[in-house]
Amino acid sequence: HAQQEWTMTTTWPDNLDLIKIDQHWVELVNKLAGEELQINFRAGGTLMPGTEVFDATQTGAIQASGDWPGYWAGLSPAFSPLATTTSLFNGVDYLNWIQQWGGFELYQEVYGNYNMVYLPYGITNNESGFMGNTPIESIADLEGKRLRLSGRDQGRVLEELGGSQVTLAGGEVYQAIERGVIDAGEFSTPGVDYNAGFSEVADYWSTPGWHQSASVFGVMINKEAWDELSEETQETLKIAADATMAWSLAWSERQSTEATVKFQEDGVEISTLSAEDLATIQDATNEVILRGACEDPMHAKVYHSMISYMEHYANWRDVTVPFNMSRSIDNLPSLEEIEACM
Amino acid sequence: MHAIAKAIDSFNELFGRIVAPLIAVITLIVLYDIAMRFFLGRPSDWAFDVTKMLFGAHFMLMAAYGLRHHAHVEVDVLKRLLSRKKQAALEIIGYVVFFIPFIWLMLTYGWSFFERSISRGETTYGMVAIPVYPVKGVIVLAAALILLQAIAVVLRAIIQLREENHA
Amino acid sequence: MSAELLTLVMFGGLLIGLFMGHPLAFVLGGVAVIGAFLGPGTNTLGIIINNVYGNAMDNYVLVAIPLFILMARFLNDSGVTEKMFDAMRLLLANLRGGLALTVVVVSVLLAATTGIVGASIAVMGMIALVPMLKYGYNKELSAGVIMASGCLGILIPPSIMLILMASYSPVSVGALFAGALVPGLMLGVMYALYVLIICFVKPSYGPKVPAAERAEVSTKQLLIMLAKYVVPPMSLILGVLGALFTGLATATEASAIGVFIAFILFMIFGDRKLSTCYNTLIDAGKTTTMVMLVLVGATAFTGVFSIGGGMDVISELVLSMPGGTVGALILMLFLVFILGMFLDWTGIVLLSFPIMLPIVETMGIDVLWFVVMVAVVLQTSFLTPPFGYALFYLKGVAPPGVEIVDLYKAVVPFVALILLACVLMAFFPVLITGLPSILLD
Ligand code: NA
Ligand code: NA
Repeated sequence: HAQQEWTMTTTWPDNLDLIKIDQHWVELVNKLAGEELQINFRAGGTLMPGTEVFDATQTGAIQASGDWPGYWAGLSPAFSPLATTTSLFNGVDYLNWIQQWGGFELYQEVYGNYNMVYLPYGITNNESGFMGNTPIESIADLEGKRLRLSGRDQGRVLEELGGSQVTLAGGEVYQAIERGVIDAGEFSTPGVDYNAGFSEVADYWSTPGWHQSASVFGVMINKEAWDELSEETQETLKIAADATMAWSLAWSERQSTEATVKFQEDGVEISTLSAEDLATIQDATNEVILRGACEDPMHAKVYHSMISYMEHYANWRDVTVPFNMSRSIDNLPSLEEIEACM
Repeated sequence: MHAIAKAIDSFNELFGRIVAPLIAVITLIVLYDIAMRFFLGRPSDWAFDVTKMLFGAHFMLMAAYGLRHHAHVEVDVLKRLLSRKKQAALEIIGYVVFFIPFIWLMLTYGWSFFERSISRGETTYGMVAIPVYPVKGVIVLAAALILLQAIAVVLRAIIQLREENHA
Repeated sequence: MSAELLTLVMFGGLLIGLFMGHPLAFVLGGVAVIGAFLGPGTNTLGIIINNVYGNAMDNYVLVAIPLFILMARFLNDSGVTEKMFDAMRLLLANLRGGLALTVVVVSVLLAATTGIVGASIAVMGMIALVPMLKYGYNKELSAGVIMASGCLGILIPPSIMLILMASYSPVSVGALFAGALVPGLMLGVMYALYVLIICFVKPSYGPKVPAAERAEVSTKQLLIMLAKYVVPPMSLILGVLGALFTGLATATEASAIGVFIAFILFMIFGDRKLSTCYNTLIDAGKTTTMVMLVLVGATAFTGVFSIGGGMDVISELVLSMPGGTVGALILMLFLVFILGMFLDWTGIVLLSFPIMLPIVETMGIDVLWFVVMVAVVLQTSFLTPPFGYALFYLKGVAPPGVEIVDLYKAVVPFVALILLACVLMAFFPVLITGLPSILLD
């Protein structure tokens, strides 16, 4: 095995903090496997637009690219739960599920359909929620509001709650809030949102971010490029991914904490939805998950695995309250109904 | 040869004239979306994607018409100093060296790009799932039309070369 | 092939193809394919399609480009421009250089209503050049003032060039529009001052309009004419820039509103014929595909150039220049100026932004300021030979006796004025950054 040289890019431009997760992994790999593999990493947008990295990695025009799986949900809705859930998983749930409950294999199955290997290497916990110039203190406040929100499941839940979904590119959210084109918008975690300047344009912040209870990031690797690596190097890449995943969770929680303090210092008013409202959102979510799952067998398969994990984990998790690592939740989408759609 | 060039001209003329009104459709959709937002408070959930797709289709499918009418940007200050025969020769060289590689890529790689999309039934990922492959297919169709028009241009250059030889 | 050699080959190929007179879009695309074979390898060819689709076709911000082009066409068909010119000419009749001044004022007004270059050069060339020559105006002053002020359309917002620049930079369309407004107006004022001064120093350059002609219209009639024909462009300015700056609409939406208003003006002042409308759609399509196809070629070129390492070569070169930040800035703007002689603005923006903006960000320079500086420098690209849109547009409509050489001479003082404006903006950056910080904060 001679030294391989890879070109890798990502969906994130240089000025977006999420690129740090990709950079962390690349640095580890170049340090640990540098003799067999050298990765030339380019910021998102410099080789091609972020929307095209999936296609370019699939064809082998580049060997690898960092991504957020949800961007490819137009190809198969199954990418959506691989990226995030509405009101279901938190960050530790993704970690558990990926490493011990069969999640990793499902990433391989879905990305494998497109000639790629996938190493999940980033988890961020709960997203900020909606920020804007209109206070959203309860579900009732959503009625008739225009909100920037990405994802089809998320949009469907919002619609059931009475709001309407506006899809905007991430870079346009800041301006759209400022100009009143939208009433509020979500973008990412508080750390990322703060650095994107949201405290300059938003007066109100509604938590928790039920639309994206946790998120996963990773690297798509072209299958041929992967197969050319020795088994040891492949193993090194996986280890670097696991290390980056642990790092990303702690890093982003630290960033979110510091940013929350800054948001408060900048005078942004934070309100939290009531437990009652969150229960209503859970009902809507369960309905939407069932509806979406039944539109595509692979989508159903991924959700089936995730909800099976939640049911299984509940046996231990619920006896550890208050020292548990996941939300105690007894209102899950019906596994039987999802099974019928697989 | 002249008849072929003329036939190509008429074909692309007709095609361009059919495609041109798309720009009015784009305008109307954007205006409709603004009106929905202002008067009903609800933006439409398809206008954004459809507008973008029609825009991509419009300028790509107008390209051959543009070539037929010499609308594309070129620096012909030096070329115009040459004899007509040399101009024709230079034109043919330009099409062989630059145009052929580019259009070959647009046709072949464009086709696989389109195929990857249609074989997966790729759609947009908004509330409304709109198929994406038609606009990806536009790349191949546009390239084919441009190639056709380029054939007409090169044929005319060849005629020019021959005429000068006879004279 | 090394990245250094690839850089030379790709730019060399570009220059050769350019001077052969081959369409720029195909030269850029062809060089991209050849470059991929020679440099980063055939497996990277696919990113050309990824760039063409992702950057040019699947780009919502750029939808404003055809719409602003269509708006300009409808405004042109309404015939309002000519009538506005007539009214303004009579108003300034008693002034030395009054006709040239009229050209500047009307062009600035038009610039604030349309987003494309050439919208007013062709019109002014047709309606102003002949009378100016007839009244004994200096040939070069007449041609120069028409070309230079005609280019302001793409600098003073709205502007399709600024839209493209926003799409390729971290700066929003709104911020760029706000940033370019003062520099654009400032250039207009500089042109007007130049006209007044040179006609004062050399009265033969711009004689007054004969008193008899001015006497044909009463002051009251003149005021009515002015009101009638200055209101329509004002309504466009208010509609488009107003919607944008107050935040009621995005750039794309504002452009559609502009088409709507221009169409109404066409229905009021124009010939209202369906055939005119249809031809307008076709003309707009031709201009759109002309602009966008260069973008298609340029995005193919930059994709390959970037993956082949060419960007790194150039940025290392720029950063290694003596003179630090100032030296690098001057070098980059000078490169834009030189590129402007040969390429059109679309190609320049796409070739230079991916290389230069990261450098600018690294050096900690305000990106908004730099982008507007490039926009102002690019004003020269329309005027400098051998390739300059303004020269071609005016030559196309100029009466016999006005040769391309006359036009080359005509642009010299105006190019100098643009460079002077750049120096002013370098020393007083607030000229660029002032308005955006007021409007957007
Ligand atoms: Na303008
Ligand atoms: Na931008």
